[in-house]
Parts: sequence; structure tokens; C-alpha cells
Amino acid sequence: MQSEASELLAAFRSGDTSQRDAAFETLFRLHQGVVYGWILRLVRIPAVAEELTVETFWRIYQAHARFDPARGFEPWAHTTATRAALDWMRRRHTETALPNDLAAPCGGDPGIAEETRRLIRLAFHQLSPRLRIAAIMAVVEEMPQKEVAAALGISVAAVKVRVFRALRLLRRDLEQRGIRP
Amino acid sequence: MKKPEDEPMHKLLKEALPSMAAKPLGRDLWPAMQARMRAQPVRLSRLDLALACGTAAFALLFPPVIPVLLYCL
Repeated sequence: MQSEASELLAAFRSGDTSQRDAAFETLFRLHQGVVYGWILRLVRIPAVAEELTVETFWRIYQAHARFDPARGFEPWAHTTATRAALDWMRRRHTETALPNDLAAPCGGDPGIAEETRRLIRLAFHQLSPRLRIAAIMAVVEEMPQKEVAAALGISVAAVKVRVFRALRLLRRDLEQRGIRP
Repeated sequence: MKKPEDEPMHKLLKEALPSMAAKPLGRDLWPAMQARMRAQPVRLSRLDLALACGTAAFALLFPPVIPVLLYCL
């Protein structure tokens, strides 16, 4: 099993074109669900997550020669997927100010009014993409900080700083909107 | 790890943006991947193009280097 996986990764990294394409298809089929799930947690829109899953694997395919089998495929895919999601957030950040299609909460706490939730989503969307993605991963999705750091290519300390800044800015924005957390 | 004063913000944020974990992929994306691969064949990078242009310009300016370049190829 282990040797099969190693052979697959070796064929993807340094096989001839037909071997590489066959290995890539196998890797795609094995990991598309995990990569999609990862991206969906970051961008929160299923159609966009599908599009970015294809984009992620396209980047992986193009960069096959830089793949380090010792690191494993999944961490590499997570890092690439996170970059693709961040690129999408940056493009989108400049295009639109209002997150109309952000995932609507399903069955949240009835104590928090929908209007309040909408204002929180709006304020959250005003954050810069690099702060937002760190907060989504660490706070909303409760991923371990070490995993967040690896996916973003930064240190754990930098993750803590980004999350702290995101929460501080969010709190300030919400207070200006009359919501006191 | 989490500071007590951050707890209300964490709670508010999670209420406004519930986790999207455990939402499975509904369809096979391989056909879309194939379409992407067909649509965008591997292209030369800008660096490759710049190097090729630079070499060609150098060869035009200094024709005696052409045999040396050919030898290196």
C-alpha cells in the first residue's frame, strides 16, 4: 500500500508524460473530495469551491517537478488550495463590497438576530483577505494553528497575530455598527 | 490558547458563519479538470521567452558567437 502510493507520487513527479498523466488522474480522483472540502471551508460557496478545486489541481499539475514526495501530497495540495482560495478572495475583495452570496447560516442561535448576523458577515467581509482567511481557518473552522500556519506558509506566531488583528478590527467595526460583543 | 475576552467574538463569528466542514463533493470534477487541461496547454513562461529573445538578439549582434551557442545546444 505504502509502496503503491510512493510509486504513484514518483510517477507524477518524474515519469514520462503518459505516466505522469495517469498518476495525476489517480491522484485527482483520490484527493478531489478532500481538496474540495478544504476549499469550501475557506470560500464557503460550493460552486466557487468546485472551480477552485480544478484550479488547484491545475497548479499542482503544472508544478509537478517541484513536488517533494517526502512532504506528502495532501499537505502540498492544502497549501496550493489555500493560495488559490486567497487569490480568489483578493480578486473578489476588489470587485465587490457586499457579500450577498456568503453562506447563509442554517439554524443558528435564535438569540442572535438575523440582522446582527448579516452585519457581522458584512464587517467580516471588510477585513483584508489575509486576515479573513486566517480567522476563518482558526476561529470559524477551528483548525489547529499549526495546520493553519502550514497551509498559509507562515509561522504559528504569525497566525496568532493575524487572528488577533482580525478579531480586534472586527470588534471595532461591530462597535461602530452598534453591536457590542 | 483562546483568551477569555475573545470568547464572545468567537461565538458571534461562529454564529454568523457556521462551519462548512463535512459538506461532501456532489459530483466528479475530473471532466472539468480534463476540459481545463485541454483548454490550457503548458505554455512557455515569460522568463523562458525573455531568455530566448535575449539569446537571439545576442546572436544577431555578435554573429561569431552562433557556432559557440550551437555547440552548447
